[in-house]
Amino acid sequence: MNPIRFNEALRLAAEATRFDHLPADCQPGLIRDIYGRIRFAIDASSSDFPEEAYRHFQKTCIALGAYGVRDGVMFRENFSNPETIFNHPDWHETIVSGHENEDGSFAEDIVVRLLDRQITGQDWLHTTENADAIPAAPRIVFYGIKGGVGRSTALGMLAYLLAQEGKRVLLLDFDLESPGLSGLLLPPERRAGFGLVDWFIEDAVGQSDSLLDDLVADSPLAENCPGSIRVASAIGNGETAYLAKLARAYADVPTPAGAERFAHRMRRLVETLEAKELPEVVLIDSRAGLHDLAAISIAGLSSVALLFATDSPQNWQGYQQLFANWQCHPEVLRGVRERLAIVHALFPESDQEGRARHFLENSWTLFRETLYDNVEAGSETPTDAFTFDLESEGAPHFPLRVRWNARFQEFDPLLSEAKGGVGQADIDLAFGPFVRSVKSMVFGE
Amino acid sequence: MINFRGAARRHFADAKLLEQQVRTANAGQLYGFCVECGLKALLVAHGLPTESNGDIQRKPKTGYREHMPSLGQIVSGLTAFPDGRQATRYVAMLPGIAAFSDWSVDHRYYDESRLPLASLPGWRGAATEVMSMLDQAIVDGVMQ
Repeated sequence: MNPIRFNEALRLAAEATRFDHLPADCQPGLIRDIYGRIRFAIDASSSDFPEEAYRHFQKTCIALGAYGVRDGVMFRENFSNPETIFNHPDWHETIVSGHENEDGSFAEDIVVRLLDRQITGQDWLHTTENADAIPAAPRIVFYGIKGGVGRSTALGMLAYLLAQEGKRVLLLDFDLESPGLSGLLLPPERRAGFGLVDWFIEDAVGQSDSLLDDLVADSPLAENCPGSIRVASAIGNGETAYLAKLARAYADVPTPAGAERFAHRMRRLVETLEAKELPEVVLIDSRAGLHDLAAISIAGLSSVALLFATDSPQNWQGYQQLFANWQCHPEVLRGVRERLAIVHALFPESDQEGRARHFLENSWTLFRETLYDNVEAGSETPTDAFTFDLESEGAPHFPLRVRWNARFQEFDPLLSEAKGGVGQADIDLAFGPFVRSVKSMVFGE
Repeated sequence: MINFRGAARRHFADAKLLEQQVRTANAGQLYGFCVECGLKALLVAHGLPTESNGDIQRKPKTGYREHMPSLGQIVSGLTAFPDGRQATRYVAMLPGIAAFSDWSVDHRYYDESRLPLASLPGWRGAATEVMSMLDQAIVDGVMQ
């Protein structure tokens, strides 16, 4: 017999929850532990639970194979403090996908309540915890499922063009594992004495306030601009122990109110810097890939999340996995999809019309299959449905464009045009339409 | 046979009963044993070697065969858990453990009037945190 695998185990457990004759207040939720093993959690006393149903779930625990546990049916009395388990904020309505059976019939989707205990990654689903806390200045997150698509350059150029228009711009380099934003905008000697990583280290021992005055520096790029570019680098000036700090940055920290998770600490840092700097716009360079820093930035912090992509299968597959994770959590999906905007990065110089069309179609297909509401063909589209046509400009799938330009390869924005740097005309050509689109989204200009 | 998790739950439940009956001196003792057993349950779940009866191995000496507050200092000093993503996951759930600095296993010999019973709420709070931490470890699957 083939072993039960991870996905199959969840499906089996979800099917088991459709057991008839369960009292309405005894519907089991599923708890999937950090190894993927599944338990049934019933928010009631075992004495109130029908014996037949108990045997049914115990049998399912055995049927789950390596993903089941002995005594995997848990009641309130199995916990010392059942409220913290049954009222845990990470319970989510979760869609467990259906599949076609061998006989051609179709097993439909099942919605279960799932408490998914993970080592990392929970933050992709934390979109609503501070829904009321609207930031004073818009936060634009720059993200790429893959690196090397010109994300940091685009961020730097947006900052520059906004500063030219008089905006106070705050840049946060949260690409902690691959810091580089500040190198693009600050000569090393102009960096502040401390980096963002220092804040996490000092905060864990309760003394982060004392470094706030030396955490942000002015970029010389904006020296002749009416606005300003203030940069919080990942790394401080003269750093010699960055890896030792990075290795500790993600810690949960004990506080009198309980464990403070990294995501909450990162939000506190962003809010502290915003309160101190009073920017008109905050640009966040997020880590590429499916990493917690990106999850917190996009799901938890962003006003707008710019998703950089090239028209390659690897890019679309990566985004498909990310979007599918939101898709099976409907309440999370609704909290995040309106903030997304795809960016066609490195838009090529040749066959632009055909390539633009190809990208648009791939993008629309992805969004339609994962993030947009599914409207039955032939039926009227409800007015509140989140769904868009292929050609719908301003829709999340309709790409902003950053043109590829040879002059921006190994680009140094701090180098003057006279010394071989890039001039305003090149910047406008490559980034002008992108910047106008972002401004329209964020400032309504 | 030793069952640290079960013992932690028993001591916690009995401590609360004693406290409700205003038997605070022994309630305080049991909160301390509850925390000791809870921490030892977590240490064993993280792979600390045990004797055949389930107790923490005597030799080589690990420093974990201790009562509070020494045991708490070892654990909150972050030396108790392996590196990696879980290193601070559980310890961060125990902010109140330092409340046991004035607790002693020798309090069982003390004259009741000399016991620091003003600390009882702090001891109870820390014990409650430990019990919640054990719940979390159970649903994480690191402890049965």
